[in-house]
Amino acid sequence: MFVPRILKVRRSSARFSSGSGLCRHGFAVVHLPLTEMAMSKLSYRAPVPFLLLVVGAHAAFAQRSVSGIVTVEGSGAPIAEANIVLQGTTAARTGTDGRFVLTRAPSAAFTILVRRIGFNQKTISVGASANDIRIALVQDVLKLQTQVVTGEATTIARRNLANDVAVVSAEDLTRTTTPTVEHALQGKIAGAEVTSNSGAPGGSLQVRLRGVASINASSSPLYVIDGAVVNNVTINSGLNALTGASSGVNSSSQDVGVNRIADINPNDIESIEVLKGPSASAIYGSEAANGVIIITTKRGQNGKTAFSLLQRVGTQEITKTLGARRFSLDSAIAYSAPFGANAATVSQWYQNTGGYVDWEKEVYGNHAPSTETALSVRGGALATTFFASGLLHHDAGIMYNTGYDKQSIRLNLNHLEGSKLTLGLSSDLIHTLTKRGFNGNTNRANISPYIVFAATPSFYDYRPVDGVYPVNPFTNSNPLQTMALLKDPEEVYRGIASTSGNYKFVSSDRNELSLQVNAGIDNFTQRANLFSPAELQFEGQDGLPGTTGDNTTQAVVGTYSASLVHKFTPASRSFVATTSAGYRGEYQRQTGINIVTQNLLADQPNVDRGSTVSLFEARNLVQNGSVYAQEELLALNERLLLTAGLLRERSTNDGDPNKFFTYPKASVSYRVPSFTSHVNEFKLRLAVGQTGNQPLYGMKFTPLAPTVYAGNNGVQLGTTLGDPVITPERQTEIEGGFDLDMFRGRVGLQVTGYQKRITDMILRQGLSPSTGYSTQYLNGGAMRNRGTEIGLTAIPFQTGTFTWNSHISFSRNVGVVERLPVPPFVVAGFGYGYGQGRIEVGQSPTQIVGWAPLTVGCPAFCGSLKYGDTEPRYSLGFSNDLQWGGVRLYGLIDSRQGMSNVDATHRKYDLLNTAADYPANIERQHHWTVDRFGEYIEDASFVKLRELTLSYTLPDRVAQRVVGSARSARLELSGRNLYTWTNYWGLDPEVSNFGNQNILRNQDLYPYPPSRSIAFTLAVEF
Amino acid sequence: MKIVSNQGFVRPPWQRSVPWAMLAMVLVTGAACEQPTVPDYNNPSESQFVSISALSQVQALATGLLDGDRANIGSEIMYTETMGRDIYRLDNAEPRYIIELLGTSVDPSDFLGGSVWPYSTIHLADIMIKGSTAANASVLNDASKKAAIGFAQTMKALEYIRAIETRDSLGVPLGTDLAAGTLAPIRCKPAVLDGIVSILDSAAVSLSAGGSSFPFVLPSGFAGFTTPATFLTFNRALAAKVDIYRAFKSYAATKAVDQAALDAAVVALGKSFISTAPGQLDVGPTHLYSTATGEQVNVLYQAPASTIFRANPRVVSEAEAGDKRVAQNTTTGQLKSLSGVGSNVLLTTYASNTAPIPIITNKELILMRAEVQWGLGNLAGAMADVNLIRQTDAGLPPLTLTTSDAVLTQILKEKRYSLLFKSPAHWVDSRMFGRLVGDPPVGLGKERGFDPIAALPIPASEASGRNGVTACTP
Repeated sequence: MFVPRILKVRRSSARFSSGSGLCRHGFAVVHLPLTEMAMSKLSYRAPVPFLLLVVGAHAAFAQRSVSGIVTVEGSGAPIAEANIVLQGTTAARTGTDGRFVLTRAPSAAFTILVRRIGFNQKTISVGASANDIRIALVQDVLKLQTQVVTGEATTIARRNLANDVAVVSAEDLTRTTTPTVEHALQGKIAGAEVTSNSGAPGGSLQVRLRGVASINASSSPLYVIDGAVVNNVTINSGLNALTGASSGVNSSSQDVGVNRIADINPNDIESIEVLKGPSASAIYGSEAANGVIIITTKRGQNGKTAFSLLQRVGTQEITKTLGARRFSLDSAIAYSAPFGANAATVSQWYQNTGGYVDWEKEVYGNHAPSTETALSVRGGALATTFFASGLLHHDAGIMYNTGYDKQSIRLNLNHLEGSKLTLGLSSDLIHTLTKRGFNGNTNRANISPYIVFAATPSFYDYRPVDGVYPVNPFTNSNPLQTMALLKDPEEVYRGIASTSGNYKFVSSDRNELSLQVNAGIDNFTQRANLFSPAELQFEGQDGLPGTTGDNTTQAVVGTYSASLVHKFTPASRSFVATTSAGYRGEYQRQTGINIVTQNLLADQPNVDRGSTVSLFEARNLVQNGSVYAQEELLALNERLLLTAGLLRERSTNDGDPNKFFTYPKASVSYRVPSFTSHVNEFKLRLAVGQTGNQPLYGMKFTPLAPTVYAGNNGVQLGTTLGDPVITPERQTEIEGGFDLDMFRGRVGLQVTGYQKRITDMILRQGLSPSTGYSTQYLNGGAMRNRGTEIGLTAIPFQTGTFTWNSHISFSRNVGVVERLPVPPFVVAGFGYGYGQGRIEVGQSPTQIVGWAPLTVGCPAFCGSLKYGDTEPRYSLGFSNDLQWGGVRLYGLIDSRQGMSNVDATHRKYDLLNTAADYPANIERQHHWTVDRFGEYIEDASFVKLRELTLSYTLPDRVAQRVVGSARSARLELSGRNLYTWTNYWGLDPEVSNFGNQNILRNQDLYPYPPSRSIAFTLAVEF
Repeated sequence: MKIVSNQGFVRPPWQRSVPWAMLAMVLVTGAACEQPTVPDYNNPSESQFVSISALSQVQALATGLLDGDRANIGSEIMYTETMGRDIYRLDNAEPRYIIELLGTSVDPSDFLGGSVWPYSTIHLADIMIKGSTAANASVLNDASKKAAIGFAQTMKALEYIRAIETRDSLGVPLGTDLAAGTLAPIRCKPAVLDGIVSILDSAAVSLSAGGSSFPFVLPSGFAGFTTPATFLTFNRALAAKVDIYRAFKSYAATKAVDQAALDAAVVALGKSFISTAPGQLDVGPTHLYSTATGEQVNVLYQAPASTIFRANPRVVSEAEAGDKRVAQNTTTGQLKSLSGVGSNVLLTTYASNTAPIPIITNKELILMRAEVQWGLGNLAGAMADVNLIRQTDAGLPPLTLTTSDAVLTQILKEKRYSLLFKSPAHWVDSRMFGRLVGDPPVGLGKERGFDPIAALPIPASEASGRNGVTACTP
């Protein structure tokens, strides 16, 4: 009877530790004054260890020092970052050597709880005379004991959970240098497709969980850090002023901006939970349609202040180049003649360049060092603990004059006031500077290096003579000149703060009632300054030489919530029932002002120093409010978990801002007792849930577009007919599966199947433009995703000091449009000639459609045909981790198979006869221009070696001798995106010219090429 | 909510009061406070213009109509002059200007296939007509209402002209004042032309009753056409153009000429601003361009040094020696090639990105009159107008031509050069008179091995909203 009771205490401890990330002291419940009745029951029932615990609590301040080491059972490798919990608070944390010191341990015998994500927690009794203890933790390869968020203020151990919630620990996140959080998730989660939009430094990745969840509403998952929603919006930089990729000069999604979760320092993260669908995430309402990514940052501990320093130095190189056609002198002269270059000029170029220069390397050949310095300090005394960190991160881009700098400072504080009130604060100040260079689609002039390389034969000499860049006669820019003179820095200043308070009204053996309050603010200003001086070759073309831009956006997201949590345990201890209810509100505001000035006065970069000034302002405001109630029942010896919840939500983005939409959820899981000797546990689970996907700001309005003619204000029809009664989309998910825990935790298998149906879809229907409008918003239709996710985790080999961990994740999702209230419509791309999205019943929403081949009866434009899909047929992640004493080798392979890209880059090389395999391009061109066979919709399957790390933890004595007062030191050599196996012609199968999109992805137009990076790391603990 | 003693909780969960109390709280609360109604912070709303309540609104609508046409005219000239094989847009970044417009057909799903489909401007004209009609008399008196309606109808007709010029025998949707989201039927060319004439005639009636001034200001490009009475001469010029299209609508196929339409054209030309007075050739309303904030620039201009706008070299080689119009529009520069065509003849028609583009000029009216006279069999009358243009606009000696075919050829040639890069006339007239296909002087030429395209397609987006059914109804 006692054991489950202790477990109960542990559960409650862990529950508050990661519920919001702000309240780590739930364990304090044990030494709270107990009601007299409860105490009397305890005193006659509780066996000795529990008494010790209680006694220990009262004897807390009789001092002695106890040290110890936490290691992996089997290999004996030290475990860093393990929490030593004494009397409900984290009293110490282990360093990279696995060692810890409890400076204020009670003099009597006491009990500690040792916890670490990825290991089974363990309770240890420390005798009155013990002062050096060894603790071996069994790897929780299956992460069964990790606490997972189930509501605004509640969590539960993953072993009981009815959903397949992925948990990624700090260790898994930072094995290699990771510019942004999303990079660190690539390949690690079944069902999460994390794709780079380009190779440019600083981020821009899309996380797609369980397929496409919407066609026209948001595509971003919801990010929650320490209980507060953080902004993941993408603000476009404004390069469109030069590219004209989208009409006008205002910024466009073809600028491929950075989605702002990139600002977070990955080193600050303790763990990430990924709620993939509505059945798990329903509590977050209509912003959770694309899943929820819950990030918990590191917290402090009692005891000696610990310093941790990490220094990385690395470099990067282009992973793939496209090459170019090699010309003979005769063919060079022939090729150049139509461009007005005479034979003598061509001969001179040919002589200068030797007929061929790998210009890609001249532009994308930067090997400048990338560095990262991360320092963190954690400590605390008695009731107050802190974690502070600082980061200096610099990525040099492979393109000269590009790069990414990030500095951040974090301070996390926790305070336990008396026995009832817990306060927490997380604060993060961030500065980033991103220089991404000029890449991507261009229409106004050919500026991106790859479009210039496609348009210019390889014998041409771009190099400056006496500081003067030659005028490229083949097209309208010189990439060496552009790279040297064009500036496009994007700077972000950001502050994120969240606070939490937890007050326990009642805390008895049977009843706990607490109020949890959270509030957070995320505020940033992003400023993109574009400067393109008049001397750039393309600048004079529009008659307005010189362009400068200032695109400044200020965005704030505020969240606040209050929840009551009641936990009830009957005297019989036959179940635990947790009831929670609360209110959650959110406020989002964004104001962006973009100024583009052309025809500059003497290259003055100020926006008021040009003759043509274009101004754009976009504002929005969203307020959401939701109330929820939830009941969790854990019964049958913690084998059965029943959950039911209800959320009602309203948003100002809906047609009726006061109408509540109700989203229920329910789940059941049952852990079947062991039925064979090899299977320790078999869990069956089933969860259903609903969530919404709220309309975006402005979808309910029919705007008129402002214009000016001869100084008079005018109005034009807007392109879109709004829907004044628009409602959120509704997603209904059923998820079921089983988890197997075999061979004493050495093999774990999770199999999950799901079906997600999206109804009342928000559609941006194409209208016949003769109505006056080209598109219209409306609700209707249905779409379905069905998929399978399999996770297999194993320790195939474990002996003595050697351990081999292996993990495979497999996922497959198939989406289909079930019905539409409107005729099939196109999600704008570049026309069927290239391949674009088309939404039609019975087809995948992510299909890529091109013109069907010509037939005898049809000489041109013969209907559409599916040539590919942007969604992979399946994704596979495979990681292996080998440890031998202090040596560790880790590798991660990420593979996606069966998706296609629209490779317009290839088309351009072929069109202009500059592809390396000339004249093979002629036949492909023939297909494309005459037969329209979808020639450039190409298979983009890949296998990537994402991460590879070799590390060595120095023996303590060596560490202390080499690095002064260090407690431990680790050396590491790591690489990222080291190798890609693919048949794709273009630079990188991971590409999206339009940035983060639901449908219009996988468009390849002259992107920033991919790179591999390697880094050497020294990590020291003081 | 009252927290009862421990004893009170020892019941199955569904009998406990706390969960039910919490659930009830959720279901009941929240509705207590109203959420704010968040307006559109970025744009004015269409509903504000349902009934015009201030002169600034009628000004905004009039300005919007003109601005819509200012955008449409540039694309129409660029694409029709390319299809007419007189100009090339040699744009490496966008080869479709060549491979489609000088290819076998234009992709209805791309920006070219969807271009010159000016229905948002047409719908805006409807908003102006309805909003003016509904306006309070204190804002717009009866004459002002009529002036505004006559203006809007004329602009609407101009947009229909652009649509039918580019789509020709495919027909275009024709319907007035339909509810938003309603589809107008696609009518065949004869019905569309008749429809445009009736819009223009209705506009003429309104303008005639429109008093002495418009209740809004027209830009200075409309100097001389700023009152209802003078604007009417522009209206009649458009009517004459449509009458000519009606007169020769079957000519290419059957050589038939609609004499009644020609008679109507004669009347309309008489009421237009046509003039043979010296120095009046370029008179006519023009669109102005500007680099100021919110304005549009002239998309037909690019800096001469690097311009991607080139004339077909045949424009020079097929001109008579000494034709001033060649020198006014072109200069020789560096050769530029793309996708099988190339040219070293730079287009200099527009001197800057703020150079105006004419909507219709007196010299076009004179050449239209030549077409009308030719159709009426008055070859001498036609040649009088041709020679007027030759002597004044081209600086060439007069010609004496006596065969019907030679006169028509000469009219079309003068139109080609006098309106080079300023009008779709070269392509539209060649098609109308059955002279599109074949090498000159029979047809327009076969660059890239393809005959000229006869019409831009019905946009794929238009077809899509009609379930693919785009056949026109007579």
